[in-house]
Amino acid sequence: MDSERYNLLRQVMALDFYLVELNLYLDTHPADQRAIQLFNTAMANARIAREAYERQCGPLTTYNSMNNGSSWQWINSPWPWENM
Amino acid sequence: MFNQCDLKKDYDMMQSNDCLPMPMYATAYVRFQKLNTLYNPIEGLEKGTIFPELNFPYMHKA
Amino acid sequence: MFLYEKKLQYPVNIKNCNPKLAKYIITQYGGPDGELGASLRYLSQRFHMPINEAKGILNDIGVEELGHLEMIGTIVHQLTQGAPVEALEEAGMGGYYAEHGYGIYPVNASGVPYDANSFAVKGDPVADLVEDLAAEQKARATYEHLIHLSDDPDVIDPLRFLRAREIIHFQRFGEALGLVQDKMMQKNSYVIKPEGMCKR
Repeated sequence: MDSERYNLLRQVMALDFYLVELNLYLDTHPADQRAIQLFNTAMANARIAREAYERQCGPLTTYNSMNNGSSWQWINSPWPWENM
Repeated sequence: MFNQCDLKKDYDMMQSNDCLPMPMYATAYVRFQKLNTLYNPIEGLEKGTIFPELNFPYMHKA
Repeated sequence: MFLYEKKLQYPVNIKNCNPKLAKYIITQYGGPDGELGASLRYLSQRFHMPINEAKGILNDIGVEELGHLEMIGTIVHQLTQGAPVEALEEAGMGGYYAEHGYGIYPVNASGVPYDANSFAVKGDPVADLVEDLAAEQKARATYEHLIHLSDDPDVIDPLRFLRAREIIHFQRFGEALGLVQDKMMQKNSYVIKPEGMCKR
């Protein structure tokens, strides 16, 4: 198990999950200013974590990640259902 | 059994408040969450929620 | 439209094969209270909701459930991959193996393929949201049953996470129901007032 990859991915997972939770909360509390502020701050942090992961380990999306390298990185292992 | 007293009480309340008695009959309610404190992201992911008031950890006994 | 991120919502790293567990856990892939049914239910109900809060929550929870479907598929895959065929047969997955090999196919814990009759879209916002509340409770209970059946901490960990999500979803659908009911009371379209009562 690549522990550095695991740690970077865990950061992204945690920050993205924080966003999902605020997203669902805001869907039923759309006027909650404090929640909106928390969401925007978390969004900025999530972006940083995502960039750190992608720089090291490859793209997380096909639509919002640069392809670094001369071949199509997207299809490289591991895929999410494979053991890390 | 149709209760005349309850109906009259409701009717009087409605006459004065111009609103329906809450909570209504034949209606399901879930208490609305009010934002309080939050777990940090790593803690939240581990628990499955960032909201302490919605954290009901399972003590798993069959 | 649908976009994909190349990561699970919560990590799944199972070190030991266990086809016996796989046979039970697959119910959350293709069973009546599983994640496939949940996603289809919410993503279908969202088209005919009267308020934005309800459209938003059905949309977003429906999407999250697809991520959970992926997690369950991953769990079943990691529990069966590498196990000898005899182990699958011994675990009662002989029939499944005959038809699907080591592949992942949506069935319930008895091997019956996914059935859309497991969910309803009534086109009535209150009926649909109350169904969603029931669905989340059933899913939560199923995860508890699966946790009872599991002895492997690598398996219990993601099941625990998925159970916690059902509780949050229940809360959000409850809030959406409250907002829908408020809206309908304002519009007088749902509450039938007895004769001569209430000026509204």
